Amino acid sequence: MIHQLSVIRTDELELELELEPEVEPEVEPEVEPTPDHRHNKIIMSYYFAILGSTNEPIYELDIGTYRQNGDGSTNFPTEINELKQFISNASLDILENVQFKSNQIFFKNIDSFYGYSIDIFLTQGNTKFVILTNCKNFDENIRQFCIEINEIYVKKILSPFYDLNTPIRSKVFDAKVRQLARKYL
Amino acid sequence: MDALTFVTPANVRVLLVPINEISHTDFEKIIETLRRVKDVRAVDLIHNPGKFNPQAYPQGHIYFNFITRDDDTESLFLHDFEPFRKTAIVLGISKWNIDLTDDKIRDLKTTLKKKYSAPISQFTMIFHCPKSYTTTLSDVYTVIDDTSNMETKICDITSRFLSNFSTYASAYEHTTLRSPGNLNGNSAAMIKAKKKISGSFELNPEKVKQMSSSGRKLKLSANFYLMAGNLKSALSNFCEAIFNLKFANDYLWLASALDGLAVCLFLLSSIGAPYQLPQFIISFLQQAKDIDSILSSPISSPRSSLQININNHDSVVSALNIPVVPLETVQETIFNCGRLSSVFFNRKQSTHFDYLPQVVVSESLLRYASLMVSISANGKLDLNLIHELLSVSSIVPNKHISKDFDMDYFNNLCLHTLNSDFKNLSMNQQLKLYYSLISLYSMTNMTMKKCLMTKNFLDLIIKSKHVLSINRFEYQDLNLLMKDYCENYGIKFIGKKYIGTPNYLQKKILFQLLEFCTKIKHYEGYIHYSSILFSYFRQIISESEQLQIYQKFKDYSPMIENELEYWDKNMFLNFEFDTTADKIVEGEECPVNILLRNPFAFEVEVNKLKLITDNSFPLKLTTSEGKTGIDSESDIPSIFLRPYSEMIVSLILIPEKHGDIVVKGISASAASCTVETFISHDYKSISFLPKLKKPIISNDIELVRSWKISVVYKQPFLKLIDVKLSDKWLMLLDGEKKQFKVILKNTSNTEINHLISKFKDSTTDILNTELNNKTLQPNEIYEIEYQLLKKKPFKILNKSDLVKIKGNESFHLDVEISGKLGVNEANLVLEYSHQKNASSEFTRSLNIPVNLTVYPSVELSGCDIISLTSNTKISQGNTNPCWEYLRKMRDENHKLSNFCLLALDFVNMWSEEMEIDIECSPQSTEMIETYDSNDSIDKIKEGTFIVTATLHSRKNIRMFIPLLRMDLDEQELDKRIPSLRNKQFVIDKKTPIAEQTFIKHAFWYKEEILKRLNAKWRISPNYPNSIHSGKSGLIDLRSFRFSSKMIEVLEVEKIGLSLKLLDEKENVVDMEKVQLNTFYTVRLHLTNRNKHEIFGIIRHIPICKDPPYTYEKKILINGVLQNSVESAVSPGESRTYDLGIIFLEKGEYEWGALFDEIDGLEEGNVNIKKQHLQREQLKFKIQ
Repeated sequence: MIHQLSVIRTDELELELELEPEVEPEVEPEVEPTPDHRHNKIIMSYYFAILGSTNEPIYELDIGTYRQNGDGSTNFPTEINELKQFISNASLDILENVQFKSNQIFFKNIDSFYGYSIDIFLTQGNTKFVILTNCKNFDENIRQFCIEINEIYVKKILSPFYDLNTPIRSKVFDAKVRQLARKYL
Repeated sequence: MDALTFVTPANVRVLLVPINEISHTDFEKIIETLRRVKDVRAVDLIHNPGKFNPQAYPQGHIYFNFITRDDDTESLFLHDFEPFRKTAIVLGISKWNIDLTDDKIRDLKTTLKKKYSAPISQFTMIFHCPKSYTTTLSDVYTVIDDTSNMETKICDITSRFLSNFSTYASAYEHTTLRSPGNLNGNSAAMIKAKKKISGSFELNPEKVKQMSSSGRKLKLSANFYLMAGNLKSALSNFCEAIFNLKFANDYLWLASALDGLAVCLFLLSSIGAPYQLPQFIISFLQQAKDIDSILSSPISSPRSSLQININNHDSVVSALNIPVVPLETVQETIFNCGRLSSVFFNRKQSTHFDYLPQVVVSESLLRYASLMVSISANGKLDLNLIHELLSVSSIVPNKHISKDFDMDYFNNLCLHTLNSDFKNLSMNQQLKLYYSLISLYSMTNMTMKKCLMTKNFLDLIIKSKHVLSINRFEYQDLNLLMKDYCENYGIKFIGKKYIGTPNYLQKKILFQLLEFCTKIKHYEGYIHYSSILFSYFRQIISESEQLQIYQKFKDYSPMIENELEYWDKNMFLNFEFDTTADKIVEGEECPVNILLRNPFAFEVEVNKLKLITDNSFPLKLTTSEGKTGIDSESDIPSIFLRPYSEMIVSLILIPEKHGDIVVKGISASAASCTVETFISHDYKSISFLPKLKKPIISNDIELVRSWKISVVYKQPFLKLIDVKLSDKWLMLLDGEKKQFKVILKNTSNTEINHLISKFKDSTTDILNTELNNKTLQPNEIYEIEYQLLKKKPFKILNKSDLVKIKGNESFHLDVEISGKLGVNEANLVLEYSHQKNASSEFTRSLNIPVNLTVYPSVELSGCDIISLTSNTKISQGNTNPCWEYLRKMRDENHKLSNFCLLALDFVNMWSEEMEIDIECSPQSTEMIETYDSNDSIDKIKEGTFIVTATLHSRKNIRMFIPLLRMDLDEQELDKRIPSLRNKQFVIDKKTPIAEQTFIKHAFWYKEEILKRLNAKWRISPNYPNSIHSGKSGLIDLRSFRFSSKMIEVLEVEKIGLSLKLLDEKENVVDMEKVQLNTFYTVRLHLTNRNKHEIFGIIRHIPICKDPPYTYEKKILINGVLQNSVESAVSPGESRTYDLGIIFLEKGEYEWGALFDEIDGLEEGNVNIKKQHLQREQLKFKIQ
């Protein structure tokens, strides 16, 4: 027992000290959907947002995919592009309704709007990872993605230079999220 | 807005139109009154022969829906399909006045009819009529002032309408009804569709067509009955229509008929009327439970394999004595209707052949949804709820949903109203649906969904091309909506303080609201939300955005009455006042600086700047330009703060009272906002807190800064009028003094009762720095201090005249200036004030500079002291004043040995011949010392030594001054060297005690000499060709320095030992004439000049100068050479000791004496404290 207890993996203890200059929250260059051919060809896109425990936006990212013949770019119709933040926020009503009724942390397809479904991963600290997408049947990938995001998010909130529920402006965090997105989505 | 309720299909739309220039508020009031009587009982109505005879179904009700906006054109294509969408009545609303004649009313009526020709009936109502007033015109109804007859009038209107309505409905009896939007109108497509879907049926197309046609007619007629309140006929017609339409697979009409049936059942329940549905309807509705529909389970498309078999066809049973259907069943039936209707709508949609009016589907769904919410909020469907739903036009917002409400399901239902066709609806319809959704979500506590809908709602309004303007009347609700919208996204306020951190989402929302407010010209809203943006979001709004908002803000702000608050509470940063004394004078200008900041991207104008002080201290604040102006208004002209900058505003403060001004902040109106008080905070930063124990309340201690300025009484003001000096320039020689006059004037009305003069010259600073040198000995420090404090360059001679200087009085100062080497500029500083009490320490100073050049005159370059002995001879021919003086002294029985010669070397540094006068008084005037009567130093009578010498330019001279040797008390000599600056005395531990003693002695002896001695230089008045002739001045003797030998010469020894050689007759023997073998007596005279007793041993020391040098065999001594004084010699006491001697050999002898002062005799610890030598030995030469 003693032997087992004494084994502490050092890599778990490493704190991510991010001292790089603060950057503005990543704003993806808006991809204007070209009128015709793109509209017909359904390109899968994800909108990923972290909402804090009191529902303030902490981080957001538009994610394109390479699966399903995707070219890695995002393709939200204009009205969704305008509304995506609001749609993801609106799904919280449903989440609040169900979050204390079940003990699951991943709520797939909890809400939908204009054909976009919303998946929410709820962390223990009531932070929500919201994913808005028109992809179907990728729930398991999204779940895996969220679990990994939770890992780096927890590391992030351990940082003494980061306050809970404040926007994440770290470049390192952003790069890691993109990397995970590429891996799973 | 005309909101959706479940019973909308049963409502009669009444468009209210203001006529005859009725005022807006009156119109609003009348609408409110009318809404109270929207429910009319059929039993109250007059019989009419038409289709909708109220007597046919007296239990029925007619429900009016009073609207003020005519949107008939949008729903025109649906009027044949769902007639309740049509505006049935147009009601002209007017207010009675005396000019309202029948002719005028007739005109109004005609105009109304012309303008609104589509509605079934046109009526006019005149409100506030006198009781006596009647009109004979048809379709004109008068309501008296207290509206007591309004219900009657409404009943009249309803009766009239029903008869018109009968006529209108009868027109439909022989028309072919077409589906809305389907211009072809025939059922070919329908049949095709039917075949495609349920091809297994063997159906005759003709029969289908017939069934469909009759079904449609029945359905329409049922709708009419529903509106007219005849529920019985409506029910039977609906049932029949459903049967027919079902058979014809006319889904759209079928769905609508089902909706109608649901409403009909609902209304039947509301009046508690019993009814019985035909069996086929019951079984048909039973199937609904098994169908997947939008209404029953989320996210599923209807099953294409749905089979609805209708086998039984019973005619509608309308029997008596049927029990009242329980409400649970009604509810179930209603929702079954809903399910089926949604299925059929959906099926219709999926066929793609026929146009499906989206608004019908959406509204239908929403109607069920709202009923569902209402039931859930109420707990169950009961009569109260039914009546509530019937009486209130919009959905009750104050009830909230129960916990077990299936939100997910409800949400899905709502979202289905917004499918892809939704975008094609007209804006009004979209808005209406959004509005209904907003209220539904609000009731179900789904705040974020509500926000999303609100956003869509607002976006839609913003995008619309119409020029919108909303009555100010409706702003209140709108403001609530917007406030709620903001709060749900975290833009919350406690009081007026924003809480939370601004984020980009909130910014987006606020920008949307701004756009919305612009669109509807809601200026107050714009100002409100732009203020929030400026106050809390300025860090995240860009420069161009700020400029844009501000531009509009400027345009709109004059249009609203509300007082605005400025956005930046920390505009005022600092207050500075730069008086060095920290005090300002009543009534006088004092420059102050106010530091303001502008964190915005636009220029901010600051007006009405004022200082906020404790007890509102009377003061005046102006600009430096303003002070010259006559403009009495103390208002400061507008200050423009440049974008993103801090600015120092320099102002002039004039206190109008004396006392203390405590400046707390400023009050100003910035950017045309209201006048506010701005204060400045001091933040005490807190130490870094541990992350996990973050306190809820910030530890920052906010300190409000304040500035205190003392204001003193009115103070005088002195002005220098003239300095009576030729050429304003002086040339002095070192030590020279000159007098001149300075004329001054008190230019104020206040008298000067406090005047201090200070002097400053160019050497002051140098000396002051010199004083800081720590290694200086106290005597050196004293010299510097003396130069600083005692040797002042100026002296005011008429001080006594200057007690008080009254206002506006001129006076003069007689000033004496003395030349001091190294000075090239001297200042006379006058500090003056008017002091009422001692506490006010204000002084004002006037600086009178005098330019002068000081040249060296005569300097002391060296000094020495030469002793004189009693043997000193004065040669006869020596006429030197020194010797003359000494001769005189000797003649006056002074001993020469009591004198010494002070030798002073002077150098003439000046270019002309100088005369030097030296005076030396024998005693310093201040020092009063008493000597014992038998003291050897006798008092010298008043005899001052004066000597004059002429000294050529650049030449030296040594002058001798006879000086009486000094007998200073030991204690006096041991005093500390005083500090003229009253500095604390520091014991010097580094310097050896002997040296310290020497320094002290030297200092006190020097002081004594300087008291006696007085040297002057003079340029002889007879000196030719010199402008300086006649000048004179003092020579500075302070550079006089002592060596230890000089002190020895100067001082009178503390224990005086004098030797005399006496012969037998006790006569003093001439030293040259001492003979062998003769009896002599050596008399030793011991004087104790100390202030204490002494004890010791006297030693005689005879010395023989010829070889062999021992004296033992040459002198015969009668007694001992050493003997004790036996008893202590008290202060001032003298004793003589005689010793008999005989010289036995020729030769040269010296006879000395020594006194060993001994102490510690009583303690038994004897040691020699000090040895005292006699001053002059006896020297004999024996031939």
